Formats: sequence, structure tokens, C-alpha cells
Amino acid sequence: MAIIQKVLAIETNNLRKIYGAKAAVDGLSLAVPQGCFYGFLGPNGAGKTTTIKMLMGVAQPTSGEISLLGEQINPSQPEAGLRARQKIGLVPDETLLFDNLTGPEYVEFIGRMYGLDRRMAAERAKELIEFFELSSAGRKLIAEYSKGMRKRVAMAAALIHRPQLFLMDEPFEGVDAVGARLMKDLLLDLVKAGATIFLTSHVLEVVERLCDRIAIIHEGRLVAEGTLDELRQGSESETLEDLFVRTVGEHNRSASDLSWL
Amino acid sequence: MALMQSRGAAILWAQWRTILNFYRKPQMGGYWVGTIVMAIWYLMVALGSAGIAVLLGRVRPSDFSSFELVLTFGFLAAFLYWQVVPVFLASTGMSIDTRKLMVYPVPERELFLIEVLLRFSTGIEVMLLLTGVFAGLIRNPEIPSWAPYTIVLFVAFNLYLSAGVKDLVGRVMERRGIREVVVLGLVVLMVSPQMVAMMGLPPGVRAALVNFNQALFPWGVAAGLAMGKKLALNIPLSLIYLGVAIWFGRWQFHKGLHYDRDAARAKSGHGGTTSGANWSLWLFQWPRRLFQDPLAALVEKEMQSLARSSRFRLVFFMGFTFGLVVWLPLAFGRGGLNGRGPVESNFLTWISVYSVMMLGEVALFNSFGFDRTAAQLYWIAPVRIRTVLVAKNITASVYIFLELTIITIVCLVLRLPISTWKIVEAFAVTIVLAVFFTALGNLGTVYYPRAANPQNSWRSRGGSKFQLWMLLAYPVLGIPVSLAYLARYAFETQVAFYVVLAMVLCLAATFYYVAIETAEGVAIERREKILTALNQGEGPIGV
Repeated sequence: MAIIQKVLAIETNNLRKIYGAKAAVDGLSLAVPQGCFYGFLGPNGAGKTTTIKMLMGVAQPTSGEISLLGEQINPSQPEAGLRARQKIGLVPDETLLFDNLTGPEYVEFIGRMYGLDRRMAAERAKELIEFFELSSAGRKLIAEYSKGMRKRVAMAAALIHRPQLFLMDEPFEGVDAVGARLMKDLLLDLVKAGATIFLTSHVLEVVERLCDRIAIIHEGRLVAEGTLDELRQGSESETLEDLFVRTVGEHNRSASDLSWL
Repeated sequence: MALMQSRGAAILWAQWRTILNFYRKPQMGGYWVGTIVMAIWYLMVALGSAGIAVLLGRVRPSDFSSFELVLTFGFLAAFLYWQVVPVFLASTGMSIDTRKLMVYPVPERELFLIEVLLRFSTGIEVMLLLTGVFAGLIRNPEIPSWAPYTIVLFVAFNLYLSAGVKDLVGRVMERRGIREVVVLGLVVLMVSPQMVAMMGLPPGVRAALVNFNQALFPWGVAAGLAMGKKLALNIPLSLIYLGVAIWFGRWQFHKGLHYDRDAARAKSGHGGTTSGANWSLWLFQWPRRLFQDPLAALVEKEMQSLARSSRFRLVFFMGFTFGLVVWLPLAFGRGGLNGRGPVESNFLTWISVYSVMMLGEVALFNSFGFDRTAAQLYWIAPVRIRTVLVAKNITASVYIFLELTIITIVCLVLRLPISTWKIVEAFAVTIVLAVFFTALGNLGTVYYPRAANPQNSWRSRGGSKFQLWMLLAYPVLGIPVSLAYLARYAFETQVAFYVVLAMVLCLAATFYYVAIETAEGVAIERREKILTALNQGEGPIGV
């Protein structure tokens, strides 16, 4: 994969997010090069979604710095944030979809939010809806979509303005095997063309197959970062699952603990 | 600038599609029915607007002082509508949530302007009526020709203020406990014009309102200015109001845009263990002392999940507050506490039955719909559907009994003229009717299952077919109970009343038995259709 070394796609420096007395993200420093397929992993409650929310601009960091495609994301510099957002495609969590629009209406609407003219947005929306096999949903509202369909329509909307950087929160969650393959192939093509993809996922096989670099976060802190080979530390046979479990702390329980089972 | 216009147009277009799609939902009767309903509604408002224009065009100077008062109250009504309705539209999903747009490259000032324009689209009815006012004033030769144009200032004031109020109320309503109180307040505010129209105002309140000088309030200022009066005072005041509204709107919009729900929850201690948790645990564990599992487990689960559902809490709360607010003035408004009409003399029974009907929507008539994430389990687990329905019915009965007790206590605290016999009668009649409703509810649950969101306090639209069915069923189910009243009237004794009521209870019990047997059969036969119906609407089940 061609990793462009000039400006980093994502750079965070000592990023923190405190909720009450708990640090959801605690001193996170990341450097994601452009043209990279970057997997961001962690167990439940590790701080993945909080991190991606801060990158998307939905949550304000308690402290630390974020830079996207060379633009500093800072409330005091809103113009830089807008310039960066213009180049970003988002697959957010489901709550950011507009439930009372149909799939084509939503994709066209997002296209127009990125400044595409109405005709172009409508044309691209139509093509994307067909590409993601959502045409059969007809006039169905997004509220009536299944989880997989919601992810696919979010992915379609993320592509409409040909972004350079994708931020994706669990993009394959609930998507069937055929849909997931379609999305994976598309994402690989995008990376080949120079785009950067930053995704969170619980599906380790997908991350193992797709990602150039992997970061593992645990209890808000970065506990591992590098290529898969670097993380394996010479143990070639180790799967990402083994590595992940080793990194975030292996459980020491077995069925024999439940004597009645 | 062009980009801003294009994005603004896109957002307004999305808002329009959202409203259109909302009316065209199958629950609203489908595409054509929705379109026709919407067209008829706006046509009626437009006709009302034309009527206002004709009337205002004919007002003569001799009537100007009373006319200014009418205009002031009209503008007050417009003000209230514009501030309250957007909150409801946001909670029903009919209004675009601009907070979702902050992840896109749209500057905050542009988002704010769009939010203000969206308030325009959520008050189309008021805009049409104000257009009528404007046209009427323009046509009136006695009013300076420039004066009606100042209505624009009042419109702008409302739009900016509404943008702020919507965000403020939205944030306040995210707090547990407060949400129910706010919704209740808003509902009372919404029905108050209807109540005033039906019963009028008590003379004291009326005099106080008329004599209360409203000339300095935004609606009074707007009315005076629209008639071209007191310019030296009204022009600066209206500009000050507009400035304050812009400042407030921007401030609240900014706060709303950057509001961090997770941080707010962490701050208010959501999800933590509280001292109340142990108490409620004890409260919810009583079924295990009375019933065997799986019934006990099911009742415990139902007790807990209903108590934790925002919509149930709201309806339960409204049962003994809203019911009283609505029926108390209707019963005692004109004749005082010694009235002898059918509502006055049976007030407690009346309000108790009303509250059960309200609770029925969330606890009886669609009991799988409010529990849809668990619904699949009922067909998978080795439990009879009949047991599940019985558990839901026991739970509903407990809450109904609790509701009746609270209503009685509230009535006694308010010193309403309610005797011990009236309390017994209210409980007896309501329980008999509740058995009928429960039986009917079990049939509704399996024949007309609908997906619902138990955490949404306000959304309450049921299936139109089922609501039609209920409309017919209520009077029919009321007939047997009315026979008891007839017996008391004919024989002039309480004994006759309770003998007939006992017979009606037997009839209700038989109906319940037959209904639950039928419901179980139908639930097994239609399980696929039921689960498909529960899967529609607000997200997938089984997540």
C-alpha cells in the first residue's frame, strides 16, 4: 500500500476526555499517515467511540490536540475545522442518521451539505444507492431500515463527495457477508487510490485482513500501535485475536469455574 | 454566499421531506391519505387566515381599544404556539436536528440561521394566520399603511427565541424526572386554550387578565405597533426584544450544539448505584413471594421495565395530574364543589376510568410493542404465551391499583366532596372496566402489534385501524357497567348497583378467559406477523 509520508492524515497529541471522575480517553497520541488503512481496536468501554467522536467534532476534548489532514481542530479556529471536514467522509454511529428521510434523500442531502450542486448530488446518490443495493428499499424511511442497511446508507453518504479521509465507527456491524465484502473491496480500492481510512471494529478478522496499521486502546490509553508484524513481536503464528487478548489482558476463567455447567 | 444558500436550501428541502414523509407513514394512513390530511389541514388554516383578513379589514376606530386587546391575545397565542410546537415536533422526529449537521462542513453561524429558518417551517400554521392579520390590517383604511409591516419584527423575534427555547427545553428534558414534569407542563399549556374555550375563565381570572397591562410585553408591543400606536415606546421596545431574542437564541443554540450528553450523564451520576436502587429492588421483588417461576420472574421483569420506561412514567404521572387538571374544572368549574351533574357526582369514578384508559395505551393494548426487544424470547423460551400475557396483566393491574390509590389520595388532599362509598364505587367500577380493557388489550396485543419506543416520552401514535377499533369498543364495554347505574336508578338502592356490578364482573372474567385463550392461539398462529410488525419503525428488535 502506498503510504504518503508528507502530512499526517490524523494526529492527536495527549488527547484526554474526562467524564465525571473517569477518563474515557487518557493521553492518547496517534499519528496516522495518509494512504493508510488504520484499525483502531479496543475492548468495550475502552474509549474507541469517544475518540472517534472527538475526531468527528461531536465531542470536545478535555485537553490535547487534534489535527486532521494538517488542519488543527480547535474551537478557536473554526475555519480550519471546516476545511478539514470538507475532506472527510464519516460513517458515524446510527444516531446521526436522519430517520424520517428515505435512503436516496439522505445521501443526496449529505452530498449537498458538502457543497455538491443539487443535480450532481442526486445523480451520485442514485448511483451509490444502486451500488450498495439499497434501491429495492424504495420509499422506505431510514427508520425502517435494518442495522446493516443503515450502515450501508451511511457508507454511501460518506462517499458522495470523494473524501480523502474516512472516519468509520463499526462500519461492518450488522452488515451481511455479501454487503461486507462489497464494502471491504471498495475500501481497499479507496486506499489504493490514496485515501486514508480510520476505522473501529470488533471484527478482528476484518481488521487483520484490511489494515496496514493497528492501534489498541485499553481503559483510555494506547497500549499497542504498529503494523501487524511489529505487534506480533516475531511470533508469526499469532493471530490478531491472540495478540489483542494478550495486550488488553487475558482472562483466566474457564467453563470449569461454573461447576454446574 | 452561494454555497450557504445552496446548503440552506438543502436543509429546508430535507425538513420539508421529513414533514412529508412523516405524514405519509403507513401508521398515518399511507401516502395518499397522509397527503390529503395535510392538504385539508393547511386549507382549513388558510381559510381561517382569509376569514381573519376579512374581519380585520372591517374594524372601525370606535372598536380600536377592544380590537387591540384581541390582537394582543392573538399575538400571545401565536407566541405560545411558536415556542411550544417546535419542541413537540423535535420529539416526534418531524424536525431536522441541526446538531447532527455539526459533523459536516457547515459553519456554526450558518447552522444557526438555518435553525431559525427551520422554526419558520415548524410554525407554518401561525405564519398563515399572521399573513391573514397582515392582509386585514393592510386593507383597513383606518390603520397607517406602514404599520402592518412591523409584524415582521414580531415574526423575527419569535423565530430567534424559538430556536433558543427548543434547544433549552431539549436539554432540560434529557434529565430524568424533569422530562416528565416538562412534558406535562407543555401538554397543559397546549390544552389550556381548548379548556378556556370550553368552560370560559372564572370571572376573577378573566378580570385580572383583561386588566393586566400587557402593553409592555412582546405581544402587546407587536399589537400596538401593528396598529401604528405609541411609536416612541413600541419601536425601541420591539427592537430590544428582537435583540434579546437573537442573543438568547444564539447562546442556547451554541450550548445545545456543543452539549455533551455523555458528560452530562456522568455528571448527574446516571448508571451509578444509588440508595434508591436497593429500595426499588426490594419493591420489585414482591412477585417471587406470591407466584411461582416463570410467572414471578416475568412479573418482576415487567414491573421493572415499565417503571424504567419514560413513556410509562409520563402516562402514570399524567393519570393523576393531567386527568385532574382536565376534568376538575369541567366537573366543578361552573357549579362549584356542590354540583349535582353526572360528572360532579361521579368525579372520582370518571377520572379513575380516564386514567386507566390512558395507562391502557402503554400497559394493556400493545404490550409486546413496548417490550419488543424481549418479545422474540417469548416464542423461544419454554414459557406459554398465556403465562406471558397473564404476567403483563398482573403488572398492569398493580399499576392501575396504585394509580387509583394515588388519585383518591390527591382528591382527598384537595378536599373534593368524595364519600367513602364513592371511593368504593370508583374502585369497583374501574376494576370491572379494567378487566374488560385487559381482555381487549390481550386481543389488541396479538392482532395489532406495533413497534414503540418506551423511552420516548411523547410519541404516542398508535395504529389507525386499532384506534378505530378501540373507539368502537369503549362504548360497547361501557354498556354492562352502565346497567349497574341503571339498576341503582330504577331500584334506588346501592344493593342493586353492586349486585349488577358483580354480575358484570363475572361477565368480564368470562370475557377475559375467552380473550386470553384466543390471544394465545392467535399469538402462536401469527407469531411471524407479530415479530415482523414489532420489527418495523424505530430500529431492529433483538439488538
